[in-house]
Amino acid sequence: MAQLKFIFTGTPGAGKTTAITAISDFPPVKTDMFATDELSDVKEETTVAMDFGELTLANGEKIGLYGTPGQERFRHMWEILTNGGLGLIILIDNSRPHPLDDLKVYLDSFRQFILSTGAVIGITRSDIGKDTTVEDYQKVLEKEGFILPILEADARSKSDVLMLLDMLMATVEMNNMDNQDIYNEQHYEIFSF
Amino acid sequence: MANLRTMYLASKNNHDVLVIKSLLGIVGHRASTNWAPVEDGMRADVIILDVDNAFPNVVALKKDTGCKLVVSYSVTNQKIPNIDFQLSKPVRARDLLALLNDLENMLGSQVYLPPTMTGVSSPKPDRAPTQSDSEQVKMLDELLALTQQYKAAILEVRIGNQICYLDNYRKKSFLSHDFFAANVLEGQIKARVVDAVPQGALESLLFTDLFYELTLKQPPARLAKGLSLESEFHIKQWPNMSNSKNAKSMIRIAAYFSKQSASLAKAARDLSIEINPIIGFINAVHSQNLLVYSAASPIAMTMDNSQIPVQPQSVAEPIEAPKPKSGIGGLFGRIRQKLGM
Repeated sequence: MAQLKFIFTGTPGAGKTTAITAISDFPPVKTDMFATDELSDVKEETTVAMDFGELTLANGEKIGLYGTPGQERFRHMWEILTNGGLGLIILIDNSRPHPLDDLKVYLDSFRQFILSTGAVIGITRSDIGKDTTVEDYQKVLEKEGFILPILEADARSKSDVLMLLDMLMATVEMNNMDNQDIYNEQHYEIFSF
Repeated sequence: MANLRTMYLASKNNHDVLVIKSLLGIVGHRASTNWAPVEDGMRADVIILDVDNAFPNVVALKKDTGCKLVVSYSVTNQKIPNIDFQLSKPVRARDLLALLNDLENMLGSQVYLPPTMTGVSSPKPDRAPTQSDSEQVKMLDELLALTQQYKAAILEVRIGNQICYLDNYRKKSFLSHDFFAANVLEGQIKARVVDAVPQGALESLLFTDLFYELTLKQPPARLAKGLSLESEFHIKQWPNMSNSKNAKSMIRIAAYFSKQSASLAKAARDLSIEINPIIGFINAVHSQNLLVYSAASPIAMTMDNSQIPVQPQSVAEPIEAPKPKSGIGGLFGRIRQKLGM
């Protein structure tokens, strides 16, 4: 059985590794390489396979925190990493040239996973890229057929990362509530609750 | 659980009478108020009327017995004039429990509602409305109207001696630190379009927070003008909660309405929370044009408001905390505990 995990994905430099660092029990295991492409202007190193952090719960359960490589050429990794995923955190760097198109890429790539679990959108660097507003992102979500929580977030801020996680879990819980209702309809008898 | 409510089943079917009595004995104490069956309609708060057989005139029944609400009990869910609620045959415990909570909501403490407003009570609305209360309602409605009329403009709004700015493009307001003080609610509200929000000492507040807080600051939290308590709501998108100080209160509500259409009463019941934050959330979402609302549900449509005093939801006794419905709820609970959320 695959490990239970939250998946962090999104554009290169959006803060996936930083977000995992903010909440992981230990500094995440990184698979970074020196950036040699256009990314080198944004960051010196970039993730090429995955980042891995972990939360150990009070009962000993371990929840993985996996960061996907951001660049589209590592797309084949994305699907592998979602196996066992509890939900998806998509981080979009608002200072990039076309952040709305970036969001579409991740919605499209993870569509089935999002529909079966849930996702939350974190907009980072919104203090730099001021032209694209949350409302613009909401319109993209609506056009793509998703209703997802969206938040301007600072990946360095633990409280922001926790807020993203809280929203994601609330979304997944409500999905689960629907399923439970169906179960109830089918199985509950007159005296049962 | 201070009150005891009584219920009488008017039916010639002894089996049904027995089943309802049995179920009431089982679930009656699980509702927000204790419920007990009575043998006589004259002593009942609520009469359940078997409408699959011959039944008396409902208006006359209410008048003769003094009962407050009548529930139809039928296989077909047929709509009967002047009937307040419906209960389907065969009755199930969960349906009866839901009905009891709905009934209690209708029977809850009566408060003043302006004739043009829909809404519900705050937990302890134990005083008469004042002029200031009316002005708070007016301010909420007028500010909401400004967000609807000028969807991509920046407005300078004068409220008495206060000035605030509504950026309808970014869904943010800019307020002085004492904006919510009572004395700013007096006076006429005047607005004009401006090019930009001037630099200054004003605090930025998301529409999400502004309208949520404005709603909860009213003595009875009320839905905005044009929204009906009987409607079912869902959201087109989550409202912006970036740096929102009220986000913790709204996350579950937003998740709920993102997944389904529901009335406020149903949402309060499903989420096991008071209804006031839900009203605040609905107004906040409405201010950002993210709200979808539909006509009343079949049961609500059977209500004859001309016959029933306008009575709000009672939130005085919140029902018990939700139990995790499955393994995922327990797992996320442990994760929240681990992260101190």
